[in-house]
Amino acid sequence: MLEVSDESLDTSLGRDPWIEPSPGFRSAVLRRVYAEAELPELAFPWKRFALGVFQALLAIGGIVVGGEGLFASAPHPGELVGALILLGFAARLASHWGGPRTPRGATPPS
Amino acid sequence: MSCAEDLSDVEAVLRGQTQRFEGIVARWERPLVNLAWRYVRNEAIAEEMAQEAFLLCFRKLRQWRREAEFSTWLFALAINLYRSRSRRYRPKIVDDDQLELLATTDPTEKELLREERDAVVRRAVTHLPEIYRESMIMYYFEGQDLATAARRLGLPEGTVKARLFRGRKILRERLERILR
Repeated sequence: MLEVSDESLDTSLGRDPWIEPSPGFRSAVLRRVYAEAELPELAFPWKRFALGVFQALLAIGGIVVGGEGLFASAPHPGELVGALILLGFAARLASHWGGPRTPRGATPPS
Repeated sequence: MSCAEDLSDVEAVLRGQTQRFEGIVARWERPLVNLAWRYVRNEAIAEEMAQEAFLLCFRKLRQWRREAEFSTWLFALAINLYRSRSRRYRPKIVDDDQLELLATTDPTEKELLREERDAVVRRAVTHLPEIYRESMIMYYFEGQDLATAARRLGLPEGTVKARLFRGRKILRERLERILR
């Protein structure tokens, strides 16, 4: 009923015909792309960024001052790692923000 | 040459000429739709996945590093997306009508049998474990060109070859079990 040799599998899978995108496909894609491009720039989360930096500085400051500095006890190494990760995340958030935007006056496709 | 056209369109889009993205869509809509089709075997879902792939491409356009060809980057993006989307959808390998057809069709009706067999095999591929499924999809999608398939998947040729071997074995076992 159904031959399942490697050769027959190669034959069945090798002659897989290509389908054509529907007539409205391209315009549907471009509508979505233009809608995306016209989104207002998302506000950079300055408050979160500032809080992250402040927390990172607190942690680092505690290490530097040491003893009874800013912390009641010596900070756990994990806290330092966490602080560094926080700083890195804040920096990454700042560098990867937004995609290409449509300049004012550009017209979307009909 | 599509590489130069891709680069030109990408740079124009990044300068704010969004309409130039149409060139990218025109060149790659057929391959992306067809690749998605091979993941889900449903035309409407395949087109929806391909649309999402283009949208993702637009959002991440700045992240394309010029060392790799644009098509390599685009396909990597699409494959990741299709992998996660296709988990929600698996077409039935063979339904009762097809079993009936395969059992009762006159063996001389070779064309009809061939078409039904091919359809069953292609749907069975979508049920393979992910690593084998992707290697098989990409290998046959690229016209059985192992080197190109490996490059698209970001894998060594030897790995793809091994996965093809294992994938075919599992496929054979499953098809024999279904149609016993």
